[in-house]
Amino acid sequence: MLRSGVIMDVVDAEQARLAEEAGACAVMAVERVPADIRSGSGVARMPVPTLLKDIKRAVTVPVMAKVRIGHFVEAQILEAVGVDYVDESEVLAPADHRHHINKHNFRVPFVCGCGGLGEALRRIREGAAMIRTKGEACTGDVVEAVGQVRADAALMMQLGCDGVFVGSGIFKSADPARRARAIVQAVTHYSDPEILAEVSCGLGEAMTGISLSDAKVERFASRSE
Amino acid sequence: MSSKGGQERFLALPMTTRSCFSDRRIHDAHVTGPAESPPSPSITSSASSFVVSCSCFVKERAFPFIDVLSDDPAMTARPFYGNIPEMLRVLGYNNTSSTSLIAVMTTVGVLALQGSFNEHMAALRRIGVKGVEIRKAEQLQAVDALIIPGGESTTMAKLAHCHNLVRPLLSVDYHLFCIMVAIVLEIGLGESDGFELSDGLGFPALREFVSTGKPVWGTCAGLIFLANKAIGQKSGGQELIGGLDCIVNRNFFGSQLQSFETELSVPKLAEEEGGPNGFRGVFIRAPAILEVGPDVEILADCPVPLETKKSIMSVDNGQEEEMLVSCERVIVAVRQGNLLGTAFHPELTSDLRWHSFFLKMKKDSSDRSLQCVPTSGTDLEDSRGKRHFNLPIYE
Repeated sequence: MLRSGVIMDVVDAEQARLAEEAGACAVMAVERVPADIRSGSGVARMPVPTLLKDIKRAVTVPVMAKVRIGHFVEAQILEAVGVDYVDESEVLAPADHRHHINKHNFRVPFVCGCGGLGEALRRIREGAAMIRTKGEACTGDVVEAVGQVRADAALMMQLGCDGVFVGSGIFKSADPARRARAIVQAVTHYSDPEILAEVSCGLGEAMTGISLSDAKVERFASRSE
Repeated sequence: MSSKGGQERFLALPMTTRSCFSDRRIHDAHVTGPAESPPSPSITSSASSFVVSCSCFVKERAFPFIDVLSDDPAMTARPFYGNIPEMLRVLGYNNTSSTSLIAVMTTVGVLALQGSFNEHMAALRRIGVKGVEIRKAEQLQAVDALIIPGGESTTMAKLAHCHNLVRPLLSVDYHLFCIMVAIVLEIGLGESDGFELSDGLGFPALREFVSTGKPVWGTCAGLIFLANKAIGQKSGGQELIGGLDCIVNRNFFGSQLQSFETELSVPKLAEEEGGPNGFRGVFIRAPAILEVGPDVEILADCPVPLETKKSIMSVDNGQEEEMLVSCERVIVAVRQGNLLGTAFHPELTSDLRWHSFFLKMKKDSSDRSLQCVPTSGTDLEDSRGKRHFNLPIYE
């Protein structure tokens, strides 16, 4: 039951434990966080099953994992491993440039990104159970609808979102544990400015975002539509 | 408003939501009054005034929930908007009035740290009861009952800890509170059990609320919190509120893939609330109740799925495993006094019977201990003949 909670990207069991401690209502297992995917090379794929099993053993909250767009076999594998939710994600290298997975064939629920209402409805027709905004991963640019900072997370909640996904923003910052806790507090108390002011203090260095006006930065959001 | 035989008659009506009450005809006569004195005989006669019931708990402006006491089905109700003092003044109970008003305001708090609190709030709105989202300890003082929604119990536990830990300081000095929170965060960092401090410091406000005897309902994660003992947890354990004499197993049926919906047999609910004998139970990573104490009433149970039995066998849990394997059916809904627990999520269905069942629990407790709001201390009986009402109600 993920309502009004924060779902954090984690790459190992240690980060998963830290996320659960901070109050995340679920963790998203990834091989590399989006910031590393951008800076690294190679094809970004679903996380390996051993990683998923490690993380499932480490925490009691639901464990999600990302698959490439259109890669129904990755989804089948993850369902067999027993993840709680699958994210058909545009931050991984798409396996199909025209079509998404037929999610009706699966028992595991899916979350998909969308850039607008039309896209959202298309994903739902394909069988998505949850929709998230696309945002541009790891830029920290909230205009692209990514809630990576506590005030941004509260902004999203005030605009009516049911919850917040956080990617690179936590574990790429100087003090992940405190920042994680702060984002959870921001989502819980999204309309209480005093608490928001308090949790915004003393968090150390934020993750350095990337500017979207740089032409070399690929827009993940346009990978699917 | 109409006159009959020289006596003024007027109506007030439940005011919790604006939309429901534009032109409602009242058919029931609810008689509430102090336990010690019988209801006024004039209420049951045809030419009658009516007694307004409302009790003020809250400091802030609130819509009064007013029980309508009228035996005239032809009366039409008009909404009244305003707070309690205004209503009293408008009704003529000003400072020279000699009436004490006995009042019942049903305000239900829904713990809103995480989880399906919006769905519970929506269900309460549909019934017509005022719901309040609870995020801080002091908000508990203003509610008559509490619902702890489904969600991730681990998450809710972390958030509840954070706020109750320094609860005594909140009313004293906000800055001191901030410093305390910062220090606590500092201490908490890096330890594997985070905020878990010694017994007695966790959830103090919630435990206090349960101990006052006010009705509390826990769905799914909420049920886990209310249980006296929970098994199936990870290392470090989990802080509980306690109160319900039972043993609960977290994630009994498995994870998301093993979540399901099923038709539950709920004879007791059907008896009290009417409707069919079945209820659509939504089980999401749900817990189950393995054992209950002698004072606990079982309201629903369900058979253990084969998949669950198989996975229990394969887990090496020692003594816990023995307890689990012997189950053919598990308990999924219980009641103990004013505590209600359901392992499934009624708030995710359109069937409101569990919510009205819970609200009736609330009424029982309030009948036993009514709150009087005397405006002058004089008895109700004295003033009955002297009241003249001219009710300028909004239409």
